[in-house]
Amino acid sequence: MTNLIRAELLRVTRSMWLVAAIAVVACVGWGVLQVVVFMTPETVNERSVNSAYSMAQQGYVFAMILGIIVVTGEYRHHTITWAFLVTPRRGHVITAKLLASGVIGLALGVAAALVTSPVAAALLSFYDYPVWTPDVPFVLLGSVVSTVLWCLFGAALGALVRNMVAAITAAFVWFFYLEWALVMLVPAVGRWTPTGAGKAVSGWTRDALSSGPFAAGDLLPMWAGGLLMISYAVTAAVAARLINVRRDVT
Amino acid sequence: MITVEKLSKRFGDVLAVRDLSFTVAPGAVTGFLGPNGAGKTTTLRMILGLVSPTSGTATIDGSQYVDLPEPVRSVGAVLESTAFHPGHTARTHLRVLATAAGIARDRVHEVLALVDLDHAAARRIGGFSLGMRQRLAIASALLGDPDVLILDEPANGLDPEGIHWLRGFLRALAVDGRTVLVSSHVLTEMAKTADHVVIINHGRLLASGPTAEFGSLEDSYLELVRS
Repeated sequence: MTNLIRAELLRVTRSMWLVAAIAVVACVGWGVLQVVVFMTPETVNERSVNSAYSMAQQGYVFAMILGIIVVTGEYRHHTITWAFLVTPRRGHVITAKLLASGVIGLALGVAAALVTSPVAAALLSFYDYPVWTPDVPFVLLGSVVSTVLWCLFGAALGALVRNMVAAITAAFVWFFYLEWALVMLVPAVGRWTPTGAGKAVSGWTRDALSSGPFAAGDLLPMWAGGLLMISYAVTAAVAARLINVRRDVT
Repeated sequence: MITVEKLSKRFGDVLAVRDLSFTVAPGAVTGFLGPNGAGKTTTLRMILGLVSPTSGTATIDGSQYVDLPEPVRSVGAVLESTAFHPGHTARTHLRVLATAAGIARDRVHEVLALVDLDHAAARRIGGFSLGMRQRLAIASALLGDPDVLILDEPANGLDPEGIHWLRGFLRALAVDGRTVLVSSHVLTEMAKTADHVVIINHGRLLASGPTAEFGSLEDSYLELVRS
């Protein structure tokens, strides 16, 4: 499995460096943008410290798309045939791609946390709020973990759908329309949706800075959100494995 | 040794391969012949575990491909219109496969030299000619130094010099004691290259045996396929 993950990372870094670079810039840039846009004199308050740092996970959509591209790129270029020739046990191939996507998500999450934290700290200090609470390390860790899980979830979704455009379109329709509408209409399900789970992992707190239906008080505890996200990813991966295992590669 | 036993494959309403049985012995080049759409590619893909048979089995030295402990060290495959990532260099493509299979990096340079592609190792595959892609596909198949080689239309896109090179290459692999199964519909070339032939049409076996027994391979083939 180590060999397969190393091969996957080699493949991705050599063929997708541009896509990966865009994802890093988008992920980091979006986090920074969120910090700057939402930390206005009207919204910021003494409870905003954790929220400010949790902006590191705001680029999660880009992490998910990168995960989708990592897996579907193999189908798009028909190079999946090589992967199945080297490793005819297709479950191993899918597992390796998921784990490699987790590694890629880790790099994204760490980059986002490293860049957004100083910006958050500077703005907090500008507004004369404390720049540090004992919760901050957990918030940052949660942001990184949620980015890892989003990338992994994207990879699992890609393995299930296999077509890049279809997978990305489905993800956009769900996350920007269906899920949003669902949570607006039935707020109680918000904590159980992928976005609700992801925000729970990241230590997202609504208190002052966030907009939208995923209120901090309604979210699951961090650990439960993590388990829920992992189970979403595992469900998609298992479905991908069951559906694709006997599918002919022609 | 490749053993195909009562192999059948149905795609929807189409019976692509019907009750096909044949064996491919080591130490020889076996030509796998048949018109377009005869079921050659489907059969080869079933041997390689990429397409699952509707019934019957295909085994390599007694094991199905999926059960081979280290498949690329047992079987090398060159598939028709092989796909590569256009952004990868030849070396990167091979290194990804070698890494996944746990094969040492030195082997990448060896196989590139074997197919006379070492000069293009650092070039992006997107700029390769069809012939260069075929050579790279052959290099990929040789990574694990396998005893069995399965090639689907490897002469496609090769220039006359390339075809000459391929013939010598396949002959050398067979003399080395390896099992070589190569599909083609270029009969004159197969008559020069193959020790044995297996001829199919409409997914069924028409004939198999030593090439020499067919006299004029082209005449025998046309007679079989038209009847």
